[in-house]
Amino acid sequence: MAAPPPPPLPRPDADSQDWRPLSPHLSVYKPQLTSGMSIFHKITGIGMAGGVVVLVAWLACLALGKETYDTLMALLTTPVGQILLFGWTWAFFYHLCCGIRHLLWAAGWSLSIKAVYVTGYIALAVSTLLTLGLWAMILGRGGLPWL
Amino acid sequence: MALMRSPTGRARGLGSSKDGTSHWFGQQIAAIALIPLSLYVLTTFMLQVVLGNGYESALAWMQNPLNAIAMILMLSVGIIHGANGAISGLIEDYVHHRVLHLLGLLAIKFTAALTLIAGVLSVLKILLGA
Repeated sequence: MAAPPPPPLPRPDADSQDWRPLSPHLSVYKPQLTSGMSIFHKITGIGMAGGVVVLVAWLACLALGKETYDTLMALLTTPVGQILLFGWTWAFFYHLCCGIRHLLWAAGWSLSIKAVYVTGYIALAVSTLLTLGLWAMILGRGGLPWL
Repeated sequence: MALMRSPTGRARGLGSSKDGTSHWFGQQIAAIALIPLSLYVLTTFMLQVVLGNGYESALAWMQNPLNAIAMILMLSVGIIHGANGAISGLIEDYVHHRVLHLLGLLAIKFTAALTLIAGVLSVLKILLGA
C-alpha cells in the first residue's frame, strides 16, 4: 500500500501550489558570519561585473587613441573614480579569498562549523590586508615591487 | 522522490534541468584559472590607472604580447564565470517572475557577449596596431 502524500509544508509564499524546497528566504534568518559572507560573495561578484565593463571601456579608450584615453583617465582619477577603484579592489580580493574557500569546500576540506568560521575570518582579514597593501604599494612607491 | 513534486509541477515538467553538475564544475575550473590570471592582470592594471599613467605607458603595457594574452584569457574566462554566476546566483535564485526571469537572462547573456567581444577586439587592435 502506497504511503499517503505528506501534508504541504508551511512556507512564506503559501499561495503556491508547488511545495518543493526553495532557496533560503533571507529575511527569516538571524544574521551570521556565514550567511553574511555568502551574501557578500554574491554582491562582490555582481559588483565586479560593473568593474569588468569599466576595464573593457578602458581598453576600448586605449585602442581609440590618446584623446579618448585621457578623457577616461580624467574620470578615473577623480576622487569618485578612485573610491570606485578602491571598492572594486576590495571586491576582487574578497571574492578571490572567498572563492578559494569555496574551492577548499569543493575538495571536501574545512567543512566543520569551526573551520568555516576560522576560514571566514581569515578571508575577511586577508582580503582587507591585500587591498590596503596593494594601494599602499602603488601609492607609496609609485609601483609594485616586481615592476 | 515523486512525492516531493506537486501534480501541477509534474504536469509542467519543470524539474531539474539535469545540468547542475556541469555548471558547478565549469565554475570551479574557471575559478582556478582566474586565481593567477586575475591576480596578475588586475594588479598590473591598477598600477596603470591608480597612478594615472599616461597613454604611452598604458599602450606599451598592453602591447606586450604576454600581457595581451593574459588580458584576453582573463576577460574570456572571467566574463563567462561572471555571467554564469549572475545567472545562477541572482536570476535563478531570486527572480521568480517569469518575464523578468527571461529578460534578466537575456540581459546578462547579451551584455556578457558584448563586453567580451569589445574587450578582445580592443586588445587585438592595440596589439596589432591596426
